[in-house]
Amino acid sequence: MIEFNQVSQRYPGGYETLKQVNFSLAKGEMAFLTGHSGAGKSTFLKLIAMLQRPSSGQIIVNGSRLNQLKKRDISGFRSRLGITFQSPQLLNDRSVFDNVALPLQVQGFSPLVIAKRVHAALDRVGLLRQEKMLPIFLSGGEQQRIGIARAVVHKPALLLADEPTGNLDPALAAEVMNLFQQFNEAGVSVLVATHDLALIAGMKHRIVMLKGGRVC
Amino acid sequence: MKLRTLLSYHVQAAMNSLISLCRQPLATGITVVVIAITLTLPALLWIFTDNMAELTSNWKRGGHISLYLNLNISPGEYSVLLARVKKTEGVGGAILKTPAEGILELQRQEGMQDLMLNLPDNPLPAVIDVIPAPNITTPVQLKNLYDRLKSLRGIEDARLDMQWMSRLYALLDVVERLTHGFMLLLALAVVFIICNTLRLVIHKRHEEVKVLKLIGASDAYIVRPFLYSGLWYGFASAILAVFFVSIFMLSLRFVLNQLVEVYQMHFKIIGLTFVQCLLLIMIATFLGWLGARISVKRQLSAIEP
Repeated sequence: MIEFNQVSQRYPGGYETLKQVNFSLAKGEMAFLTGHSGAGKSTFLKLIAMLQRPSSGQIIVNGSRLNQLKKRDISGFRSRLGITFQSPQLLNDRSVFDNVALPLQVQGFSPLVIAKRVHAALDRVGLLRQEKMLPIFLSGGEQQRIGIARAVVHKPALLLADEPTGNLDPALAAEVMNLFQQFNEAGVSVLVATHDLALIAGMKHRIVMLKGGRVC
Repeated sequence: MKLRTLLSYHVQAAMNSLISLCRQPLATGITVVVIAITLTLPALLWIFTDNMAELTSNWKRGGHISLYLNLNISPGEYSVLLARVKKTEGVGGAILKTPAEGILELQRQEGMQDLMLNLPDNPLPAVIDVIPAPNITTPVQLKNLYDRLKSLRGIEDARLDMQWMSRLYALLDVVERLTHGFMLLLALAVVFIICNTLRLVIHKRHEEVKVLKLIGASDAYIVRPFLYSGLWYGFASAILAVFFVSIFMLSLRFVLNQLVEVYQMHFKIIGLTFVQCLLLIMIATFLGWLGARISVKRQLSAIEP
């Protein structure tokens, strides 16, 4: 599903966050990406989602060679991924339903299909009753779960999560991780970047450690 | 992409942009009024030039040509010559004035009687007054007619007061050029007003654009509602401008009609015709779209998630 081949990322000024990284994630696999802050976890995910381009090396995601993708192909590529962030990046002038519906609207689904899928996604994260509310009136954990619902509503083959539990208390964090596990069991490849080693230690998934820009 | 999907995208974008414009009635209203005023000016200039054209087409009928007959032509030949003039292409009508009629006319004028008495015999030639046909409308056509008539046998001289006509035309030309220049400038103003308005709108919706890019919305999808906003601005402003112009013309019509009456001109002031209204709305809508496009294209590529 993901393949990194000698990938390096150097920022202007010479600072290198990733140094010749090799990595692969199989289809249907779930893995954790961990390391100290500044170890390059976010860069790693951003490269996969084409939010950045690597300085050198090759990345293949979902069969696409990213360095061959043209600018106009990026949106189509991204629409097949699911991405969540530490801050869930919701639109606060729209209801929970409308937020989750966005990826489907963008892809031109009919209102009927959209309603069905959004309800299913909200049901999975346990927020069906809040669908008409505005996100700002919900708690941090609930907002995070809306973000997750939005990331999976269009049934992506790959789900990327950048510190999804960063702002949550342990109980909520475990709940969110549990959600990712459920999606993985349904066949979605999942890559979660987190520094919460205690949380992931108990889950039987591969843990990839980034240290000094290298995978160890 | 399937046509139905594309259509639903457009309907969605058009409705969403309309709803978000209506959600801020004050801001939208102010912008629309500003653009409408900007559109009202060229519309009024348009009406002005149209009326000028109509007015001068009335004046053109005044371009008479006077033909002075050779002095040695006998009175018996006058009617033959008159018939020949009448048959010349481009002549609408011709009236003969014999030397005797001419002198009578002169004597009727104050102060001329004494002068006339001192003359040994009638020095006046016979004159044919030619009124050009209705299809003679331009100075060039009139000049051609003049040349044709002058070359007729038996015609000593011909007079055509061309100068005032060419001056008038030159003046009208200047007015028309000025009007076009103004129209262009004001159209540019509309584009830039919408450009700036949408720049602010996009700035305010920065987050939304970011999220849309993140979930893989294509540029076309993100741009569409903004383009529709520009379109709505242009459309609404044009309708308001038509309203402004109508009010303006109504208030002016009475005064202008009085003016026309004083000058004894048969002339009716024309306002915006239906076609002109339609054209104004179409052009303004296009300008709105153009302004939005210029503004949005550049800004959106600058926003990266």
